[in-house]
This record gives sequence, structure tokens and C-alpha cells, in this order.
Amino acid sequence: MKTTLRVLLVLMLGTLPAWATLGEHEGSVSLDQQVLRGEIEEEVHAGYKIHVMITADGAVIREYVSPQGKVFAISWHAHILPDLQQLLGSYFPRVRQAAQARVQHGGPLVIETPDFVYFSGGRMMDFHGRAFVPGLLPSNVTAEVVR
Amino acid sequence: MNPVNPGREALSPMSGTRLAPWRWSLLGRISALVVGLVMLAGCGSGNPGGGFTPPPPTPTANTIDVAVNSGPAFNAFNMAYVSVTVCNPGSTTACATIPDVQVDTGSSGLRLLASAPGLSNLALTPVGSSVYECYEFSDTNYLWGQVEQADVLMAGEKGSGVPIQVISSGNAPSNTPCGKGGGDNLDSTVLLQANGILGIGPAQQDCGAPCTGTPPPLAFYWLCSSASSCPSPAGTTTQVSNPVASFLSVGNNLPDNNGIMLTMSQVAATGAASATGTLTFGIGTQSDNALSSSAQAYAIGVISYNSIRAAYPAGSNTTCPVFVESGQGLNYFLDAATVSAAPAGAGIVNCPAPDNVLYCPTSVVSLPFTAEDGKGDSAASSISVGNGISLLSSSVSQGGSNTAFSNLTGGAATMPKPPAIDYVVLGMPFFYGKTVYVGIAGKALPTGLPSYDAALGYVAF
Repeated sequence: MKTTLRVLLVLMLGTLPAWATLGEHEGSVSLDQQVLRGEIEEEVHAGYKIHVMITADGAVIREYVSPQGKVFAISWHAHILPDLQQLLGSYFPRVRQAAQARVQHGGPLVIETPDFVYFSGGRMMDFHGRAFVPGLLPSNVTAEVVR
Repeated sequence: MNPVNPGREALSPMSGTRLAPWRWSLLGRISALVVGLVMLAGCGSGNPGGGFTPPPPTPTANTIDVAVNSGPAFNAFNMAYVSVTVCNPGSTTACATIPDVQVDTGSSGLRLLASAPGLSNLALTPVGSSVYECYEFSDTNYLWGQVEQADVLMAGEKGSGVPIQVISSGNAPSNTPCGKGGGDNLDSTVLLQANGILGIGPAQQDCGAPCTGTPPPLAFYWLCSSASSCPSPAGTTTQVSNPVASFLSVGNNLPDNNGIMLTMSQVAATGAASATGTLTFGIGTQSDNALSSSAQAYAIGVISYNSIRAAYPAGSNTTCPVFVESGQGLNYFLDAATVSAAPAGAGIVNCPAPDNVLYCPTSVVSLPFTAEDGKGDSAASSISVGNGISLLSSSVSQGGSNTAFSNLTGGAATMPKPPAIDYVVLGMPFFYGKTVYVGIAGKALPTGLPSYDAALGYVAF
């Protein structure tokens, strides 16, 4: 399950909206232009592909796309939090709800539901997180590929 | 089962030279600041003539009481509070003493609610032309507010003109990472569970080199004409800073600026209504703050930003980053699948929803690990894991009377993997019943520590 093909695309502002939101179709929603100012590398794997974006402030965001063109998972490693509303779309309110319901601020956040799994942690300079939709996992692909 | 290599993931965002070339220049900068071993005042050095021996200098007040309780909004647990006095720069009379400020060894800088008692009576000095900071937490909540300079006084120590963050009321502008992240500004005692945060971690500043330049590589700071109008990120060399790094004893100007020691009382396995402790300024600078010979020091930053590392199971070569953070109410320790796969971790499971992040073993489990720094310094340590739901059911926020828990520990859920928490946080539960030292980067080292401990600072316990 190693990368079989790598295509490097350097995206200029607004061109080729290959970025999308969790649970939606690839290319359905563009990240805002400021965030898009980065490099996108497309990795093709057996049964899925990954858009890897490196933003101007050094964040590495991975978007996992099924053969049907659906974004089934997102991951991030960042110094400053990426725009999670943009990346998580309709799932973002669940993250907010969980953040507001907790008894203490800070610390990792874990959400495990049948249709949405989420983890975020870290601190300024070193944030990381992952989210996926179990029902959208391509056949023969497990959530363990989300890194 | 997917073998977890926890260190690798957390390392990647910071270690790739391609992604963050500024980080290496930061390391270089800090290394350049490394200073030699501190020469302690040699009391009683040879006086061959006998006769008069000068009395030892009067020790300066360098300790302050720490309390764990339900805090200013009566909703907290495992939060260690101190009082901090701030004054208009240069003034000894225009001052406010702010109670219930949380002690956090995992961040750097003093952050106070604008609404904290007495603060609105002061006229602190704004830094530059109205610089605001967006300080984020991973759960999308954040602290937004102006950077201002204050004299900071604790015990007999004073830091002059220390840049602090005054947390605004209301949310951040939508063009900042804080404002567009969808979270809330923790601008009240109910949300923050404190009047502020005293960040006394190993870094001198909360960002460093990545926040300087035009435009800065990282947008922590913003130029604002008001709290709600901020056109652009600000590169600034005047950043919110660890006040301890500026501390001089008021009486004799001795520097107690190279770190802290935090000593906390024991807390029973089932929790306690409160806990007490002492925060001492300086390490090896006075007679009361020597680095204990039983403490092991670990250099910061060998594996990732602001961390040391752990091997788990103890003695294995599977390592992950460890953050020593009194500002966290729980320990976080990897994930249940990884933990329970080792003999010592048998019985570790996650609590049912919505408390997935807590562990819920049926009885208290001690998890041994090896603390290390990648420089050859290592020692055995452990954390204690109790039943999270059962413990918190006795907390003030759930109608009980307890606010201190020594074995409250969480981690990522077992199924499905991922997510896995691939790092360790030694939070407030870890601090009970011991003394933890935090040495500040670039400052003088106490006798006996290797010079690499000064580069990015160290922790010792």
C-alpha cells in the first residue's frame, strides 16, 4: 500500500479547486484563498488517494479521497490550527458541541460516534488531529491509513 | 493491531527542515544564549585567619503558596492557583493583586482576564502600536487580547516591564485564526476557570523567532486598531514572555530567573477536596531551591517542541513525546490499545461516551514508563490510572466536594484505531506528592547539570 504515483501540483490562487470538505465531493468546496497559498501533492494509493497540502505557515493537511470522489478523512499537523470549519464542514458543529461540553478547556478532544470519529490535540506550535467518516471508507481500506 | 510508533507522528510537523527552516535558526539563536554554570555565592569559603565569618545573606522571599480548589467560578478541578501582583511599569503603588491565576508549566507568559479584580484600574503600557495575540487551544477555543507591559511581582521577586496578554471580552476578529476557527474566547472565569494563566514553562517567550519578521512565518500576533479590527499579522520581537525569566529579588537584585520548582501535597487515590503546594523561584540560586540529588533532569526539545520523551513499556525503545504540564487537569497517556497491550496496562479501557477521553479501569493501575531526553538521561517513572467517571462523580462540578485527583488519566479510545493519542501529557495529577523543576532556556544552570540542558531548558523530577 505504498505510494505508486506522485503528482506534484503547485497551486496558484484559486486555480484547480481540488480541495474539499469532509464527507463531500472532492473539489466541491475550495479552501479560502489565503489557506490555498501552498503546495498540493497528490498521492495515489491502492483504493484511495491523498491530497497533501502544505500551507504558507507550515501546516501539513491531508485529505483522503475515495474512488467515488468523496472525502472520507482529513488529518492535520500544524503550528497554528487550520481552518477546521472549512475542513470539517457539516461535522464541525459536533466538534464545537464536544468542546463546549467538556469540563475543562485545553487537552485532547476525542469524539467517537458511529458516523464520525475525531481526535485533536497538541498546543500552539504543535497541533495535530484526524477525522474520518466510517461509512465513507472505501472497500478494502481501513481507518488506519489516516495519519 | 497496528504497531504504534508514537514519536514519529508528533515529530513530523516540527522536524521537517523543508517545512520549518526557521526552527533551526531558532535553535541556533537559543544555543547562542547558553551561559556557563552559575557561580553560587560561596558561603564560608576559606577564611584562614579565623575570626569573623560573615553571616549568610538573609534569604529573600522566593516562595509563594499554591492552592488547588474549585476556583473563582466554583467549577474547576486539578487547577493549581497562585496570586500574582501586576503594577503599572515603574510604579510601586498602582498595582493589583490577582487571585486564582492558574500555574501552567506547559506554556510561557502571563495571561489575565481584562475583567480580573483590579486590573481595569491600572494603566499598563501597550506594546508597540496595539498588538493583539491569538493564543489557540487544540479544541478551537482560544485566548484573544492585547499585549501590554506590566511589572510582575510574586513573593519577593519582581519582573519589570514584562509583556503579558490581557484577555479581551468578546470573540476575536474573523480574519484571525482565532476568530475564524469557530471557537470561543475564554474570556470569563466560568470559561477559563481562573482569572488568568501563569505560564512558567521552559521557553522564555511563547513563540520566539517564528513570530518575528514581516510578514512573520507564524501569525500569533496581530496589528489592531481595536480589539475587533486587525488588518494584518504583526511580526514582533516583544512577545508575551515567561515572567520568571525576568525575576530579580526585590531586596538584593539576585537573579531568581532560571526556573521554578513546584512542590505539591499528596492527594488520596479517591480524590480530595483541596490540595496545597509551594511555588519556588530560581533553581540553585538560594539556600532553599537547590536541585535535589534525587531528581533527574531531562533536556527539552530533543524529540519535539517543548517536550521530553517516554519509553513505553518501560525500558522499551518505543518512544513518544512527553509534555510536563501542570495546566492540564488530566494525564494523557497514549491510547488504550497500546497501553493495555503491555502487562502493566492490563485492564485499561476508555470510559463510555461522552467521556471517551478518560480511562475507566475497574481498579487503580500504575503505569510504569521510562522518562528520558535522548541525551542519555533517563529514569523510571509512573503514572496512576483510576476510574475517570467514578472520580469525577465526586467533583464539585458534579455536585460533590472534590477538586484534586491524583490518578485521573485519559487517552484515545481503543476502537476504531486511529485516532490514537501518540504522546503523553504529565498533567496536574502527576505533580501531586512530588517536586517538579522547570529550567528556563538560555538561563544559568544549577551546579551539576550538563550544558545541553540550557539550550531549550529542562524539566526535572
